[in-house]
Amino acid sequence: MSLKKALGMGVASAALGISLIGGGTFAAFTDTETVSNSYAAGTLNLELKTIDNRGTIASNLFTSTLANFKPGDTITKTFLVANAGTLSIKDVKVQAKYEGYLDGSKNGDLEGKLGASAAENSAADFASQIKVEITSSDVNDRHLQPVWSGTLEDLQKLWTDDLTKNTDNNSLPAIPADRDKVRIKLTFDEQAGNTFQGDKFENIKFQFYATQFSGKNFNDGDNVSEFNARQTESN
Amino acid sequence: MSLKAKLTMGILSAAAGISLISGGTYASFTDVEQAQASYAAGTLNLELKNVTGKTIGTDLFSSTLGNLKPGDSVEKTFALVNSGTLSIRDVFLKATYSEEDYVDGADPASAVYEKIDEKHKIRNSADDFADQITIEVSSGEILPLKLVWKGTLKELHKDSVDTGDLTDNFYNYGLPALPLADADPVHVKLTFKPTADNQYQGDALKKINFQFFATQHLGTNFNDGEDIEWYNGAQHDVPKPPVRP
Repeated sequence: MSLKKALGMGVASAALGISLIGGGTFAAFTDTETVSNSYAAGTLNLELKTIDNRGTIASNLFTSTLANFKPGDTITKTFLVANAGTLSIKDVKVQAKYEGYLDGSKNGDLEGKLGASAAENSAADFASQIKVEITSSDVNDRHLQPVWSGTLEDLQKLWTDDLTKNTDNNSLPAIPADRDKVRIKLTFDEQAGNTFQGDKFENIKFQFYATQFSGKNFNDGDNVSEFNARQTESN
Repeated sequence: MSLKAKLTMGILSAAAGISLISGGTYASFTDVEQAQASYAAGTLNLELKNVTGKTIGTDLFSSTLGNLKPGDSVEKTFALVNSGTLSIRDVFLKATYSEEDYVDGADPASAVYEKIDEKHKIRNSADDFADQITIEVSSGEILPLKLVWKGTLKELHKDSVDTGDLTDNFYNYGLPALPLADADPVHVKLTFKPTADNQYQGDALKKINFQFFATQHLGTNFNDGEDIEWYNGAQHDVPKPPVRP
C-alpha cells in the first residue's frame, strides 16, 4: 500500500467548526488503511497402501478370504500407513470392530458338516479365540517392534498404542511424505475347542485413527505451512 | 502533504467608506486596504509499521497463513503510526472477506482437493469457515497489552461490528502528530478454533481484509491569535467515562 496514501484533500469544507446539520451526512477527514492476508486450513489424510506403495487399500485389508480356518492357523498382512495430506500426522491408532456373527450351530448351510460337539457361542466368545498381533517399523524394517497384542475381543474395546511410536520420527510427516510399515497377524487360537466349528464374522472392520499435532502459537514470520507439514515428534 | 499548499484566499475587504452610489460617476478621495490570509487544510494519514519501522505493505502477516491445523494460532505486533499533520482521535479495525475469495476444500478447484480423504470432502460456506477463526485485538503502551476485542472473523465481518477504538489504551487516547509522530503498538492474534472439525479440511479464504479506520477530532472554534497548526497536530483525546459498576 502506498506510503503516501494521501487523502484526497477535500478542502472544500472550508467552514470553521464543522457543523453537524441534523440528518445530513457528516463529512470529515478519515483515513482507511487496508492490509490483507489469505488464510487456509490444511488437510489431514491417512492412507493405507500396499507394501509396494503402488496400490491403495480401499475396502478389504486382507485380499485372502479368511474362511475355513482351523485352530492354530495364522494369517499375516503387511502394509503401509502413509501420509496423503498436507499436515503432519502425529499418531496412528487401530481398533477392530467385528460384526455379523453367525454361529456355526445355527448355520443351515453347514448342516451335516459340523462335528458332533459344535455348540452355540456368542460373538464375544468367538472373538476371544482370535488373537491379534500388531507390529510396526520403518519402511526399511528398522525399529521393528510389537505395538499391541491381545484378542479381537479386547481390540473391539480399545485403541492400540501409536503405530508410529517406534519409528524413526515417531510420526508421519507430510514433508517429506512419510510412510511406515505395519503387520497385522491374526491367529485362530489353537486352544479353540470344537464349539467354534463353523463360527463366522461377516466383517471385521479395522479402523485406523490418525491424529494431528496439537495447535501451535506461531509468530509472524514463521513458515507456518512448512512447519505444519514437517512436524514430527522427534523434532 | 505539504502544509504549504496554500489556498489563496483573496479577501478583498473593501475599505469602509466605499459607497457605490448608483448612477453617475463621482470622484472623491478613496483608499483601499487589502488584508490576506493563507488557509491550509491538514492531512490525516494513518500508517501501519512493523516493529522494525518498515511500513507494512499489502499483507499484514508476512507469513503465509497456509496449511493450518485446528488449534494453531498466529500473532503479530505492529505499530499504528500518525504520518499526517493532524492528530488522529480514534482508530477502529474491521476484518472482512468476500464470498468470492472463499475456496472450499471439497471444491475440485481447491489446490488440496486431492489431499483430502473422500469422506472429509464436505461443503461449507465462507461464513462457516470464518466462524472457526477467532480474532483477538489488543493495544497499549505497556505489556501486557489490553484486549480491545475478541470474537470470530464472521462477527467482525458484519457491517455493524468493529473492534472499538484501538487508541483508548494509549496514554493520550489518540495518535497525535506533534511534537513527534505518535506510534503505538497493536497486537492481532488469529486462532483456528481447536474445535474445528474435518469438514474444514483444506478450506481457504484467499483474502481477509484488515481495515483500519482513522478519524479526526471534532472541529474546534478557534479565536484569532491561537496556534491552530500546533493545536490540531498535538490534540489528545479524552478517556471514556468510567463504566457503571
